[in-house]
Amino acid sequence: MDEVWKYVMVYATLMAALVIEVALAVNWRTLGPLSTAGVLAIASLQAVFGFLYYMHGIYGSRSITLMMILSLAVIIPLFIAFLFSIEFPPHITQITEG
Amino acid sequence: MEGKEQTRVNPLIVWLFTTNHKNVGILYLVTSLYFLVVAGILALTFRIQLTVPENNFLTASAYNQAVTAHGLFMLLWVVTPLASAFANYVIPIQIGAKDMAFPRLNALSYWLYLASGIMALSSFFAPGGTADWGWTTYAPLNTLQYSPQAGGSLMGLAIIILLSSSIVATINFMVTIFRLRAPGMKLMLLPLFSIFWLVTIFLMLWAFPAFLAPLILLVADRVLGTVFFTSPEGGALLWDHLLWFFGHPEVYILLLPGLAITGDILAVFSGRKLYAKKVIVGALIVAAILSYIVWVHHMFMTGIHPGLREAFNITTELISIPFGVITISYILTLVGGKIRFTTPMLFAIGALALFIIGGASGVFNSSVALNFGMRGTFWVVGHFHYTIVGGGITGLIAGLYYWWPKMTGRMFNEKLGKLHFIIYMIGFNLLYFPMHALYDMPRRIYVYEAATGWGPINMLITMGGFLFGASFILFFWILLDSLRRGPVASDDPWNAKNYSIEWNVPSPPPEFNFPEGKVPVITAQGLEFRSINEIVGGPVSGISARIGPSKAPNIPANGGTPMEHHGPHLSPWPFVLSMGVAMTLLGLFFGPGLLILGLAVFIGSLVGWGWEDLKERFHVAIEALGEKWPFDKVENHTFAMWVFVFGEIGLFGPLFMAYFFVRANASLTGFAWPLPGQIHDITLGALNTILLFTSGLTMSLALIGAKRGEEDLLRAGLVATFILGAVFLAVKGFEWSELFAEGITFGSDISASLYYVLTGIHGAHVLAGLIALIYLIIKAYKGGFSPHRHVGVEAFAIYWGMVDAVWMFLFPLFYLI
Repeated sequence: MDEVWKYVMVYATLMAALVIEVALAVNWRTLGPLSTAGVLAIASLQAVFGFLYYMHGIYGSRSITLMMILSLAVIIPLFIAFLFSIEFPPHITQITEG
Repeated sequence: MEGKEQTRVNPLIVWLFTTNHKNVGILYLVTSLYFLVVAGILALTFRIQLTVPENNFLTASAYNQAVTAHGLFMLLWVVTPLASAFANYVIPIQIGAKDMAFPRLNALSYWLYLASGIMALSSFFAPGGTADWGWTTYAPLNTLQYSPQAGGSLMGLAIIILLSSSIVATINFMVTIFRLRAPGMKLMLLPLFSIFWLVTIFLMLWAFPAFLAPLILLVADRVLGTVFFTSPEGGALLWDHLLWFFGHPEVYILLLPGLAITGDILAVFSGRKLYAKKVIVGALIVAAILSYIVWVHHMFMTGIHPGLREAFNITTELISIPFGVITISYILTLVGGKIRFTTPMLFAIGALALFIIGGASGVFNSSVALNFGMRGTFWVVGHFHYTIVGGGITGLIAGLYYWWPKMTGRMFNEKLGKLHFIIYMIGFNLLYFPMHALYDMPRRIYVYEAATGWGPINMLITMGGFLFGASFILFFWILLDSLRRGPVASDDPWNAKNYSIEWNVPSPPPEFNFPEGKVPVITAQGLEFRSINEIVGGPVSGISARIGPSKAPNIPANGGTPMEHHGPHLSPWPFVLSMGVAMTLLGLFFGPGLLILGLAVFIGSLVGWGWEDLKERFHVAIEALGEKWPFDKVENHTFAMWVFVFGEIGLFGPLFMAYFFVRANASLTGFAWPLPGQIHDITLGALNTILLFTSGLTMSLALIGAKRGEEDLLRAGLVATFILGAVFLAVKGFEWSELFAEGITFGSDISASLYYVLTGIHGAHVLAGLIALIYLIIKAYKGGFSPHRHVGVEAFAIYWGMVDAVWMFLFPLFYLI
């Protein structure tokens, strides 16, 4: 496939994902957390597409992909720590009572 | 300053405009030592205050400012920049390169560092003085309610500029070490300093942007009135996590360079190979990984989940193992060696001994139970000074003595050096060891009563402090005396020729480090200097199989520069740009005149830099030959952009985590998060998403055009990308103005604060992209790209793709859920 057409296809896929994303949020809001999860999953898939094609990661070396994964992995402990900090929020009670 | 071209130029101009890595290293050295003196004087002032009970030498506010500035200066403007001085000077030589990958960016890193330092010093003169919240900048002490002085905000901005400088340096070193190594120079063949520095910059790559995130939120709180650290949804815990997520890797960023120099010196002056070098490097990598999962031990008392405390208790104890391995390897290096007790060696041994004491006291702190007792006491102050000053700075001082003859071409007075060591060690231990006895004295008080019984120990500590300070006066005297009348140093005064490359070149080294027309080559027989033709002409025995004619084409470097051509090593723009940044930001506090002038200088410098590039007036000698594993398939500029993107994940990742934390807390505090469409118009958000997606397509088409040599496609793609990006910003501006008109401002509530700051940072990235696009469009219309010369377009496509990817999350987070 010609390279130009390949990028047009990528663009079309991103646009289709955008339509589904908006539909999930606007028309299927009644799904509640499922709608939110769906929207975030689509956003993540779009970002993967963005990395592979718009950032041309698909043509890059394996080392670059590995570094990208490492960069994202570094954030995971912060997510877990924040998660466990929400469950016991004495700082919140202190502030709200204060 | 050996280059013929530079000897004709005014020395002042040379130092202001230099891009030579060795000159930049010397600039870093002088500046970091200056800040060391500033931070030291600040320390002595608050030590005087604490010498006796109920002292009134300093007011509470002055004490707090002195303590805060001392900590910030030492951590940010002294230790890492001092290590950077050596890294700049010796690493290109150690890896066998003629310079850094991006000499102008190297100079920019230094000048931004100096600009940030000027801003930090200026904060003392702002009304109310400088920041007074302690170096940890804990919320809510960092908020306007408790620290209303403008100097605090200026200090925050200064740190942001400093971190930006460090991020630029990180990218440069990453590309330099991975891509500019001499033929045959495998990573494991490098001296410890280069290897440790590589690991250090990996830590800097993600830790510094992660600190940038809370600082931006803090400055936004203080300047724009957002509510990240004053609202219950964010508050103190948000700051704590974001600070310490950076803060613990930062400990190793401070420590590792000094520890590496210690190892190199121990090997050189014991006449032995490093004991188990591979194990040391393995332990180092394990420690670096663990450094990202120990930060919560700084937060045991914040009321977080007990399970979290246990987990981080374990990881903290684990991290002592790799450092134990490194320490034992160092000691075993000495066993059986013919030890020469020179000044560098004495300081290296001292650094190792002090680091062991600091490390041992740190193990106690990892225990949750003990941590509850010792947290915030002088025990902790003693511990971290033994680690950072004892292990880190003492190692750096060893390094300065070690490389001084190489940098200056002069030897120093050995007897005075040894006297310096004795006074330094006595002063250091008198200053910091008694602090462990003050395990019941809080560290953040400016006055105490006589009945506490802390007076005599504090007196001892202050005496140690002054003795320690006096050792630095002697240190500077030794260095100045050496410059004035020190004996001429040989190429290899320490007999370290077989240890690393810098001892095989003159002291000081020539402008491009190696004999004219030669490059260093590492063969099975050792180091050799060979001409380019010898290497390109045919297979060279003993060199890595990757190096051969097919991998060593005489490619045009940086768009047309022959490999052996070295243009002038001067460019005014890094200096001018940095001064423009400093003037602009200082103008925010000291008057609109300075602000306008600063903006004019800043914009002028961007134009000048771009013009210099378009006219190809600055050339970089790219090393087409050599070891580039594991990034041998990417070009230098493209790789640099990737490294920048990895760093951006370090910035946006914590910002998105902050969003997550705040939003989750909102459900607990009862804050009603706006529903989709309630505040932000989904149609406008979707329109902007379409604009960015389309711009990603047009940018990709531009790159295809560049690769194929289809200039019309290239130009059309670039212009379309610019227009789409500009329309995106216009739509965003319209949205903001509509929200403001409805009374939704930065500080309306936490959701508004998040929206403005996150989309604002993204918008700033779009704006920066548009500025870069102007340059690319002009270059494209001037025929500056071809199928073989289009790295600028390729690198920008990666950047623009990242801007798109960030928006892919911002849109759903603020408009859809």
